[in-house]
Amino acid sequence: MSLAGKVAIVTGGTSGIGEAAALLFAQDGAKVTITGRNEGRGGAVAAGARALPGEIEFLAGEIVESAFCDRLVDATVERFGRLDILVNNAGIYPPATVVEATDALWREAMAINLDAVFYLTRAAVRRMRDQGEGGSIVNVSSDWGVGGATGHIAYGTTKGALLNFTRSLALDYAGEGIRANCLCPGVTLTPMVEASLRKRFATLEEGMAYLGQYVPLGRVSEPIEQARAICFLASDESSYMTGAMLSNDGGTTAR
Amino acid sequence: MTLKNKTAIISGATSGIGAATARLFVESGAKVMLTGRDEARGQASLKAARGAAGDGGGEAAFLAGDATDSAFCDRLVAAAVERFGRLDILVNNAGVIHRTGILDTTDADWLEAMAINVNALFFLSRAAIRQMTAQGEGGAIVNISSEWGVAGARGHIPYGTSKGAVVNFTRSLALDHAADGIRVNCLCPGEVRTPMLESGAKSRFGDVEGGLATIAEKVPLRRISDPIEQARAIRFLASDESSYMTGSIVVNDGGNTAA
Repeated sequence: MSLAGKVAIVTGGTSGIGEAAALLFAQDGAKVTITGRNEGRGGAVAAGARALPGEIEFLAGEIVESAFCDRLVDATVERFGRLDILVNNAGIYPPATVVEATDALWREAMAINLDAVFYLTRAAVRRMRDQGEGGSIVNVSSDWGVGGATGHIAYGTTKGALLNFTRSLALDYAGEGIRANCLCPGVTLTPMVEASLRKRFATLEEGMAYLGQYVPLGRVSEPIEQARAICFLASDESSYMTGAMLSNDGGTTAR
Repeated sequence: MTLKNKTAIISGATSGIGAATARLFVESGAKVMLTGRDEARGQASLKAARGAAGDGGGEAAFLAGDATDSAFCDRLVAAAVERFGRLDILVNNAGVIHRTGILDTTDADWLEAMAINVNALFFLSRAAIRQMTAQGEGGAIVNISSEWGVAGARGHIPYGTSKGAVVNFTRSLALDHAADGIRVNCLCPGEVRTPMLESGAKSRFGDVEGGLATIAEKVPLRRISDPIEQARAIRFLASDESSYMTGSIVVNDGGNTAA
């Protein structure tokens, strides 16, 4: 899928799905700014793109700060000349039922999974409108944005909200050619999931088998499988799609 | 996106989305068996598909027939396997539209909609899955529903009912054969510049171009899609690019159903 000449921002680009998406974008020719909290990882991902046709630049910062989101867009435009694609991928999933959730846990989930998406999308749409050539926004929700999220009330709430944020945004800017779509990944073997499995099971394989048994396809996904769907939504391959929700969950929500 | 070494069957390949998909698949390296009822249009579509072949190994063949005939569906799969050696992809694209509410719908209209839009998917998917499970290497089925499969279809009761059935046929089939590695997904196109839409524009608004302009104005993206834009989504769902997707309903409608 060609992204030659496209400029993108990917949040949470220092690991997991975001890292895989940034590298795939660079492979397909895009110039990408990634952001994330882990500076060491950010530099490593950027370095990993050096042999690729595109380019990755890491900018450290807190996307929960509105001013940083504005700076992120400005820095991207300064460096790469324009902005075509925004992937709102950063997210946290704190385990807690409603009685277990503290105010702080709730607010942090809202801040990272929703407020940051609002700040950065607003900054990106401003830029895309100025360019006047449309754009593509991909929001990463979850299979737990479509079905209830057992034991993860804050996460499930934010991911459901993201679906309707996407639809509403899509309607507001469709007339300007700015498309907004949502990917809903199922369980994916990110470093976060891997660390948790290593803690809970004797081997990673045992943990993966445990999680995989609940998925109709019988396995967890690799970050690259999610990245390919993000790439499809970000690229002109999906030129008529907007306000759509793409479930990529091995059949989990078909039940 | 490559479909190299993949073999596909595409129903309703004689026009519109099916014809565009056949061309795109062949261009992407697939070996494609086109089918449809109209021999003459089938030959034209076949010629166009063959013309799209680059150096990726793409090939095309056409078998005329009626997908509402169970025995034909079995023959179609057998013919594809005989010609190309295997079957990896099925695109259930053939469909019919009746522009009637319930009071204006005859028994024959209703039964025809069910036969083409639903029963043919059953016959052809069953035949394809028998072959895919025998091969033991999985497969991908893409069913073409409609935005009117996920939202009500005003004045089109047989179409809306049948396209809703396609959505849940997809989910159920996906669950049954996920363990075999056979992925089943559904594309829901919105407005597409096909003969079907042109006939609708004429019947609803009196003239084709004026009608299409009126339809386009109501789409959030403010235009009607080209069949190739639907074909690209079908290719994504049919290819290994969507290796973890099954039972998914992918709406490609310029934002119509987001409202």
